[in-house]
Amino acid sequence: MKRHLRLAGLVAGVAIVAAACSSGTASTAPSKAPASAAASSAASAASTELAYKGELTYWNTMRDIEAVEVQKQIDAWQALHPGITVKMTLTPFDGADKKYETAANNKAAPDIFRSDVGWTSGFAAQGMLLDLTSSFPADFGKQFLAAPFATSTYQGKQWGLPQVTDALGLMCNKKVLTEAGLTAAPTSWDELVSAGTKVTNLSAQKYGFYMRGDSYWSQPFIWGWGGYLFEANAEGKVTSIGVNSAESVNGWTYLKDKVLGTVAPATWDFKTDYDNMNAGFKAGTTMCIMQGPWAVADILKGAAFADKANLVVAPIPVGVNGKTGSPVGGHNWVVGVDVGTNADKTAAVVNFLTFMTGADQQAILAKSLGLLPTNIAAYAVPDVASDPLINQWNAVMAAATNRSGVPGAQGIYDSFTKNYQLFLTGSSTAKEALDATANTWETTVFKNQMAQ
Amino acid sequence: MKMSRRHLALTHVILIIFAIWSVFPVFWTLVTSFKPESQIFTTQIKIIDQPTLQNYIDLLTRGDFVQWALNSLFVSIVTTVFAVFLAATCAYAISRFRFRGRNAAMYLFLVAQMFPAVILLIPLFAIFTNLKLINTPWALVLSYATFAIPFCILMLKSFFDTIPYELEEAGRVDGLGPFGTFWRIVIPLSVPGLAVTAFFAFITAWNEFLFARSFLTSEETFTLPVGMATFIDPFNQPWGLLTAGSVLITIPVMIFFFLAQRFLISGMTTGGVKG
Amino acid sequence: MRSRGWVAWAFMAPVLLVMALIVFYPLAIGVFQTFTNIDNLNQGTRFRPPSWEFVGLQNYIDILTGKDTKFYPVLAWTVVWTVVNVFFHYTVGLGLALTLNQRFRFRTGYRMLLLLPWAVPAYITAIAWLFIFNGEYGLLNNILGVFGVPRVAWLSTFPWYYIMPIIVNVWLGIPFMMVALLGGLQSIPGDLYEAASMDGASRLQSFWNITLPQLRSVSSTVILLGCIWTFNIFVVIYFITGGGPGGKTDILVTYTYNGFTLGQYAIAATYGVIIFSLLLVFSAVYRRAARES
Repeated sequence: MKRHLRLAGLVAGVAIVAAACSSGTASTAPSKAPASAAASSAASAASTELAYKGELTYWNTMRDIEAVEVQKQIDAWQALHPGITVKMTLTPFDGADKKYETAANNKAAPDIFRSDVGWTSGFAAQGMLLDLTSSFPADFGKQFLAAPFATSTYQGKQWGLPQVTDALGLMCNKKVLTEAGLTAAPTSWDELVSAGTKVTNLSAQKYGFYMRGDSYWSQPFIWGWGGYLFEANAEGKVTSIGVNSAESVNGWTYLKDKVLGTVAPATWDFKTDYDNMNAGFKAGTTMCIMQGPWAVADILKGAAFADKANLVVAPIPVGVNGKTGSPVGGHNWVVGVDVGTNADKTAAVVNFLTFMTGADQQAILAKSLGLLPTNIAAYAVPDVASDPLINQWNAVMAAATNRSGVPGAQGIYDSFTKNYQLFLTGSSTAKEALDATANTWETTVFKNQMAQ
Repeated sequence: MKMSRRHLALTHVILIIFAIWSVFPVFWTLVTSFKPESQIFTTQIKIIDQPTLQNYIDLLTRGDFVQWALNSLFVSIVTTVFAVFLAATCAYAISRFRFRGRNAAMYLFLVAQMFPAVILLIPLFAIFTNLKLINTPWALVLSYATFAIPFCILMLKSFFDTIPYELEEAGRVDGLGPFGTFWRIVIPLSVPGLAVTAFFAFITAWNEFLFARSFLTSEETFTLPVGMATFIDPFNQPWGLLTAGSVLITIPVMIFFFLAQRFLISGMTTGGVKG
Repeated sequence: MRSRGWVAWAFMAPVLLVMALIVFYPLAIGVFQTFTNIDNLNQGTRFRPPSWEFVGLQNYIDILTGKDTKFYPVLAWTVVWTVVNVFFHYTVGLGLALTLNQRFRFRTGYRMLLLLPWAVPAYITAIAWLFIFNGEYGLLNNILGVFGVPRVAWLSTFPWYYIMPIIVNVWLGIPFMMVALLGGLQSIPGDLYEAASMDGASRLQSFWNITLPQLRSVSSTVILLGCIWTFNIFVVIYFITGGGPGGKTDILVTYTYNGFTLGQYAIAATYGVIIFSLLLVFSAVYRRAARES
């Protein structure tokens, strides 16, 4: 055992980093909000001549194989605007929010950042983002889906643009569904359980369902029973915490009693169960799993999905009384507050974002990466409209639950997952685990965000 | 001591069992790196089925693997030189000179190992920001050297203790000053101890993650562990790439290990860890 | 040895300077923070003024009186973790060193293989072990399956989630002890054994009365170092269990690190100081006991 071992951390360590300062040349134009082009369509924005020359920095949290597609889009935009380069740096998603905050605190934030929707309000609340409300025409937001667009607003102001949206859906293997006697994905958990038991053989590792040990995945079992995590008001203050309500407890109890050990294994690999889940599903030994659109490209590489039509995507099943819910995620384009000191630079950034959020560009990413666009018109683009999987995701998104934009809310998952693990392994009852979670949220995560 | 046949057989059995146990995870990593991604998560035990170099090809073409390797080499080698030099001078002083505070200094170096390094991360980040060393290899070199030095000093001090002082006195007669005897007499005799110390400093620097990830911010400066982390997100751990990367990362250490290996025993024994 | 104060300090100055910058100054900042309630919400940033306050010894009191309900369970497990690991490090290391201290063919080859866990980066081998212990597709289960043994979810089932990280850490720590003790064995003069065997002593008696006492100095050093390093080792728990399930396998360092990532800077710093103090006291007591006996 080496002494230096105590230094090593993991890939998911805290990344507290400052980036090199962006090297854009600052012009001395006065800092009034630039009037953007009258038309808000990407095409005309793209052809506007921009005064800014120099570099824009963009931190992208995508993996490199995905970022390759984005680089093509950047190249296309740069071709339209010679003299401006967008320097994209990849930063690992884990800990990227901390990294961004540290950079912002040190005046070293990138001009543009791909912010998870759960982070945006926190950055905005701290004053790290540029207020874009007056940078875009008044009705610019109407071209986007309502819920994703809402994630880029906070306290009535616009802090970014929605890049992609996602939610957990129920993915099923059509062949195994047929074996279980179903013609389509199950619409209720009861249906999934009763059909799933027909194809389940736990010791042979054939599963009707596979459940992760991450609390993010447990949320449908709270919403599906009429519970909720917390509620917030328009100012982003938490008005009530419902994660330990009776309904939430019922949902988790159902999970433990009816689903685990019957159609899904009641054993865990907390650090690698994402891979376990995917591997079993790709091999065709699992009937259904909960997954998001980001996983589609990988799932389709599985032996069971050589025929794409074998993959079925459906909304999360209902629990009781027709209730269901799925956590809405996604990413926003956000702009660092320091960009606002340079009007020309701001105009350039606005132009870039208008281009990238345009229907055509979003459709390109949808086709190549399977990511769900946030621009409504993107869904009408032929490539996207004809994609059967994307159409199935629309049904998922329609039934999904929006997350409240409370600053720092991404912090709920640490205690949530810890207590969830104690619940799953039998150390806590559902009520104890959820009570402990609610307590931690109130005293720590939402310490300054509780409505008085 | 001649061994009886039964004794010999028993010895071999014990050693074979432990050798297998020691090598096993490394062997598994190597084997997995040649498997196509689809065969990694399987319930079947297959050592080699359809070996492929695809993981290595992917690894070398995605990202700046070569650049990261060069960065890691630079940081590790500079750290090693820095740490060994500083530790040697310090250990020499403690070994040779009796001065006030000597025992306190030795205790200090023992104590310096007790503080968990993770606690220093945040204050150090602020310090390096002020010194404008963030995103340079120097932040890492300074940190790694500092963490490796105390153990190196303790090792080298014990080692120097075993070198008879008469040799240096002879050197003094020939007109060498204190630094001269150190450089020309003691150091050449200390190769085993220095080899162990260098090995230790090198692997401390080569293997470290957390500080590298915190202090390096742009891809061109990443060291290998940090670069590898960009392939991963919580929703996808490409085990094929990870194992291939692990193999490549391990190779320089193994080379250094083979070279320093024979010194490891003698270096650690001749006074090495005699407290 | 001469008494040449300034020359000695000249030799030591560079090291002390670097350590002052990299260790002592941040340490001082850390200690300062333990007397406050700094967290990520009240620390001063470019965008808002600081709103933290001094709380005196409150952090220490909360932790040591058990008001922070996590400290004592985590401490208990950390102590068990350290004792069990070092016990096996030493006994197995000594056994292997004794075995290797004889002359036979392939001895060097065995030695190289047995040193491998020390040479390969720990995070790489930790990930390898993590995968071997995977409940669904891990090699251990696959191999056991060949013998008809049912699968076990090693890392989430009691008591295995305590045992597996110990196995990995023992694996990791044996080479160092083995090498140090081998070195110690090789410097025991052979005539001691000859004299003993002429007096009719058995192997066991030789071992007990010659080998162990001669190894005393090396043993006490490596055990002390082993305790300190094992107490503070981060990678094994972090990679293998992540402190889970639900924080049950957290040792003090991983728990403290988690506190930092959650922004609980003052509390985490307090834990850091407490860890440090515990080890300081332990090493002082240990050295005194080693000196006296």
